[in-house]
Amino acid sequence: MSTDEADCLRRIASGGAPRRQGIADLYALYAVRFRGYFRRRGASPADADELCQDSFVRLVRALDRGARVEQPRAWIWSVAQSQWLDWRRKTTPAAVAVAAGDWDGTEPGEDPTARGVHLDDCVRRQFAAYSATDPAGAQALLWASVEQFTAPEIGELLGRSPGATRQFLSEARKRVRDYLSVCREWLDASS
Amino acid sequence: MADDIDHWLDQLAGRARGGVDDPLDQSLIAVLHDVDAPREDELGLRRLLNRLESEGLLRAAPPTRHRPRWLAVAASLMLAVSLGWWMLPEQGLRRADHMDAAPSSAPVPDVETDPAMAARRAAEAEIVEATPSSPEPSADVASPPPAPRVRALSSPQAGRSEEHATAGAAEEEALLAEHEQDLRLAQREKMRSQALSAFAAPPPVVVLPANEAVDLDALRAALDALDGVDADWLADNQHDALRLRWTDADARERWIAALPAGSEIPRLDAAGQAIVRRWVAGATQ
Repeated sequence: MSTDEADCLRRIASGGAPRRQGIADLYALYAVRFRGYFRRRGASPADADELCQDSFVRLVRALDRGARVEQPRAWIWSVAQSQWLDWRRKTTPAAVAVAAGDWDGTEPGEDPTARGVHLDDCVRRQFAAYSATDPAGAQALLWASVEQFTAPEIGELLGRSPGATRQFLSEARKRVRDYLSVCREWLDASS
Repeated sequence: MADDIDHWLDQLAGRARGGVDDPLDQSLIAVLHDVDAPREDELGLRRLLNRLESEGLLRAAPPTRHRPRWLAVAASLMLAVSLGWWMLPEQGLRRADHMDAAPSSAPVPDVETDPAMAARRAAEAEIVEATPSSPEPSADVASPPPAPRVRALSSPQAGRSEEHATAGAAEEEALLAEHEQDLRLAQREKMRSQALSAFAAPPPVVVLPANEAVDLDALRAALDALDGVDADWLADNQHDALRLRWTDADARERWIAALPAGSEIPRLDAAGQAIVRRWVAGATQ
């Protein structure tokens, strides 16, 4: 994965014809992640989409200015984070107060067993519910699992020390397990 | 706690050797990957590419990365300043002025007996008087000196490409050096003449006897008639003294013999010049 991202960034930085393909490949990898990240931070779907576009433009500009990229994935996420912080400064807090509870159309606390869903569907909906209450924790879990970031790397993106990040992740694990405990009933039943 | 969290992170990332203990965590990992899984978004990508295209970022030239840009900027500035300095029309004259201050072992030609040098001096005078917007020099200069070429550098043709300017820099520099040499020699000659006129010893003075009324006009005519002797008024508006020039000792003896008796005659060279004037009370030589 990292090699792919590094290759994408290299093609974008080289300019010319390879740039278009590099942008397309990186967009396919990160557009969904960026939108989810911005949605979890409180942006509306429209704002999240705009922030996603702005992040890619910012990324291309940074490469044109000769930005040095040593850790491609961390750098890509730092670009999105900078875009979010800039947007956050320009936006009133009320506009950011949109909850992420409508993620995948799930209402927090909804009983998944009532719909007769499978375990993964239950976990998906409960994770959505958890994300609505703790978007930062949900994003940290995504970084840990999808991006395979370590605690210090997550701490850099969250602006926390490694120790504080581990404390934060411990609390996030406790919360997400509380939400997922509902799905354990389905697990026991199926076994 | 740190090890526990790090182990949990390793499980989420798939780095743990023993795999994932909790089935719910296993399902959570699948959900997390599915949430951020790449999806086709053709419309979003097209919108992004259009925006990059409109902002001129889609096919931007590759940047010179990890290379100090100030180096290229400094080199360009130095080249531009150097070329601009050489293209200044009066630059050659300025350099000549500076070089005059330095000693030189080059021989000084005789301007009056060297026609080429005289022509160069005439061209130099024309350049000094000319302004940058003045027309090209007339073609009636005795010999084509390099000076008009220097002025041609300030013409619109000087706006040629930087590549051509660089290629012709050596030739232009050679021309400029030659021109500077001529200007320097001319300037030195001019200074030498000024020095001679200002600091050279005055010619000896021959004082006519005080008790005789001498007709200077008649005396001038008599002296001028002698072989090897020229007699002129000292100045056009000053007819109370004569300037005598003679070519050798015999001529000197002839004009001395032609003077009224009792004239005061100083030590004279075999060839040279002298001033002949009446005696004036209180005057010194």
